[in-house]
Amino acid sequence: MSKTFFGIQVVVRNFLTDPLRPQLHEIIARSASEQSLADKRAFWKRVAAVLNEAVPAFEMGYWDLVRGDGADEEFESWSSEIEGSLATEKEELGTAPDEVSRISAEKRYIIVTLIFLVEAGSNSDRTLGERCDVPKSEYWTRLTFGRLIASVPLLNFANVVADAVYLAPGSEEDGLSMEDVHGGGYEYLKLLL
Amino acid sequence: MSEAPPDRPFTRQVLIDGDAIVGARWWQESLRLSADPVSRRRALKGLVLLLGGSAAGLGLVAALTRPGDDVDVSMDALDLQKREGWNAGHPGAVLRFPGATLFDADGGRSWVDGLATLASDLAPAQASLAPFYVPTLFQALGAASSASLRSAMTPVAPRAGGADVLRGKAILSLFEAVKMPADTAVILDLDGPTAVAVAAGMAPGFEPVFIFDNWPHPLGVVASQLTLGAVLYHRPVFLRARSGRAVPAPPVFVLDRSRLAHYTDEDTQFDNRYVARLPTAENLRALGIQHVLYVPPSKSDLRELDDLNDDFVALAAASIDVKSMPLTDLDAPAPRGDAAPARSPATFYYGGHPLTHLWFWSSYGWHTPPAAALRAPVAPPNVSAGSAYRPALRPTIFSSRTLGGGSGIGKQKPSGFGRVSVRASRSTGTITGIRSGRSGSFGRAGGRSGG
Repeated sequence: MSKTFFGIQVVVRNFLTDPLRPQLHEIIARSASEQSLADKRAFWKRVAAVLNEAVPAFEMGYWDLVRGDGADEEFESWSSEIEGSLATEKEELGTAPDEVSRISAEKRYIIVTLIFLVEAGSNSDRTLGERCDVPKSEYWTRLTFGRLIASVPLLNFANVVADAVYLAPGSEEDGLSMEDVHGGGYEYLKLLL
Repeated sequence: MSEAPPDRPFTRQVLIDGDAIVGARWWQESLRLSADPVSRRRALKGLVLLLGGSAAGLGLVAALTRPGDDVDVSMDALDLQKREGWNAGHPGAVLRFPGATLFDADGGRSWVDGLATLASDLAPAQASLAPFYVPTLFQALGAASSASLRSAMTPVAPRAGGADVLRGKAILSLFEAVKMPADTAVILDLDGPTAVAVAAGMAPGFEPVFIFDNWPHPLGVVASQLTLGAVLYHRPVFLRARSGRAVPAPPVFVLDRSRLAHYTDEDTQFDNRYVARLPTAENLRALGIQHVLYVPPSKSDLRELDDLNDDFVALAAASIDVKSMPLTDLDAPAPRGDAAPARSPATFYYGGHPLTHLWFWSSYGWHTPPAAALRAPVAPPNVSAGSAYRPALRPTIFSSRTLGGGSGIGKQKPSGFGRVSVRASRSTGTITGIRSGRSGSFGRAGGRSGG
């Protein structure tokens, strides 16, 4: 079965008093382990609604739509890189934040990542294709990112093979600083206008 | 693992709730093919081991920190210019325009009124080519903060007595001889002003698709203001051709090969280099393209530039024939010793003579001119071996960095490419200094410097 990958990652300026991070945290952490199509739509509506409130605070981001042979690999790549390098399973990484690699004196930013793998040629695929068909000059605008995220609940989840959502950091005590998001490895992120 | 009930088809495979990340991933079992959670898990663990169990895997490497409130970070040069102004860090510096003129190719000054609309004016007329148009350079003129750039701009006249335009006309005449086949695309990979001039010569029959993905800067590694000036000079030619050209017209993708110019000194240059983002093989197939003619400057440049190597190899793998023809294969007939100086522009030919011109098709073989057009072409003695050129994979700093494809997002720049060091305030996020300029130190950005 041919598939299409859609991924969007956004860096949001966030302050400790903002409800954004705890709201997203709760939505993800309390998500059901098994979901119906209606559950799935409701889940993504909640995520999109919370993010929609934060569109003006979107600072940087990246999105990609990959059709065909590379779609599976792209999903696997995004998910394994994020889970593998930031996972906090005790046997792998220990429980303390990585103080050497992450300088978090100013916990200003959170990173939210949404990824999807859908059946090629399906309604969901067409929805993504239409929503991603934006002029190149508008690829990297907050408005485009807001619209793309708002498109997620519109997908026909019967055609969605896999999906995932990630929020970093996972706690109020940790954070991502400007050095983190501008540092090596995040060069692909685009400044949003 | 038990099979999910039909009414709850999504099964959560991963739930992470830790200090560094919160996340969840589901699969819809009924749509899943043969994905093996065990093998994925092994791969994931392997990745973690490879990364040494640190967050460095996502690149969370500490940047050089500064005392006090400031921090030094690396930013994409174009992002910085969009944020701080086209002349970021150097608001008082001037652009240099060798060959500047007050008038365009028609001898008029209508280019002044067209500055802000250049990006839309020069967009491909054919909707099928629009996704591949990269008007970033033209958009610099339309930015609200670019008033000073608009006032600094001037047309740049073609060099060498218009030879570049005549070479463009020579390419056009080659294709007119075979009825402008829509299955062949031309890629001009010449220095910016030359590429624009050649495209102007071709424009009556070819649809120009400009791929200029940076903004000019007073200290720019890529002197893209000259390319922009050349576009302003030839603007009336492009506009006339746009409205008069038969449709469908084959595309000519116009690149500035200075995009990969050598970057030597961070303190005297602003790294506004970029990579060319051409349509993929799949895109070209959809456009009906079966042949690609790559036009570099000279015989010594037959091979595509490094950032195109992956693309060209992929084209060849998709049975899209790529051949090279350096611009110098097109020349004017040598003057006879006793001839008076020409009073009209010369005509350029493949091989430098009318009788060798259509030999091009004998060499490249994609199409055959009608018999009536053949005047017993003879093999030119001094042309390149570009018709025999075939792209071959080679390691470059751009290898295997293609991202996306479906949306045309294109390539990721190599680490350090097209980036600028900036100093920013931790507390406010504002940029307080930009490292470029002869001072060798961070100049104060002074807020938004455009205008």
